[in-house]
Amino acid sequence: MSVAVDIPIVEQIAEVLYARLQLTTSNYYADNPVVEVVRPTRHGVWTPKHQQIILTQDAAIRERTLDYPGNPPALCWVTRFNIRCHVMPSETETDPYDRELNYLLAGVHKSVTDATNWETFDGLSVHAEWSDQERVVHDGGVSGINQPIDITYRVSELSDYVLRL
Amino acid sequence: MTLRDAILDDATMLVSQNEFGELIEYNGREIEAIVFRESLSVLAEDGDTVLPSWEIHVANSSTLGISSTELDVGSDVLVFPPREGQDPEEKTIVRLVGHDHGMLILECR
Repeated sequence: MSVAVDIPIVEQIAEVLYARLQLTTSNYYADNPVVEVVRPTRHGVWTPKHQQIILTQDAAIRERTLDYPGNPPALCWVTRFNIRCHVMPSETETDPYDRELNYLLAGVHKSVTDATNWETFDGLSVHAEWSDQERVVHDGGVSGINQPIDITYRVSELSDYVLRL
Repeated sequence: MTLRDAILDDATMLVSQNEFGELIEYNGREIEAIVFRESLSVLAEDGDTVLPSWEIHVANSSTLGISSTELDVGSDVLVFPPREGQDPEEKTIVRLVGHDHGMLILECR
């Protein structure tokens, strides 16, 4: 089965992920809403803030074992999306830093997975899984944690706009 | 006048609009500062994101600049034109690069 649309499949997945992360900007979880979710521009017109999420993606990796034969064949890709959670509390903040990180990450996990068959991203992906978190090693500047998520999807060899399930 | 007073006087003169400084905003008040406008650079902490940086020099004073005791890194912002001639924008102070009795050197991203 193939589905043709006018937005590349990987961009549609990014938009779904971005929309789900937006839930963290409301009082969707706990009492510490995220101030904003940013997909950065090339020139970086944003400024680091406490309780902020930056969404970026790595170059896609081929997953040949999940390709489908055919004419044209379906190619399987895995794209890693980096959900960078910035926690930059005030110097007068008395809450433990790790507690703030734990709440923020809990909100991220809940917002992304709180959907039926969450891992299919509205039917666009084959699979999705959380990867190891990466602590940001900071030297007084931006600090926080990165929660990568690997999303696997399949498209036509001839067009990144054609979803192959 | 003590040497400490002289150092603060020198710093205040250096960041004056009549010398190298310009007016920027901190916590709702206007202060004089020297703004070193930097080019794009990778945000090392995030690895794959690019973000301009600015180095700001201000007098270590709660009236003429920002005092080292009132500064709250991570929470405080400065408002200034990111590029000469542009409209002012809010930028977070992410790092206290250095300071002494006369001056603070801040990094904004």
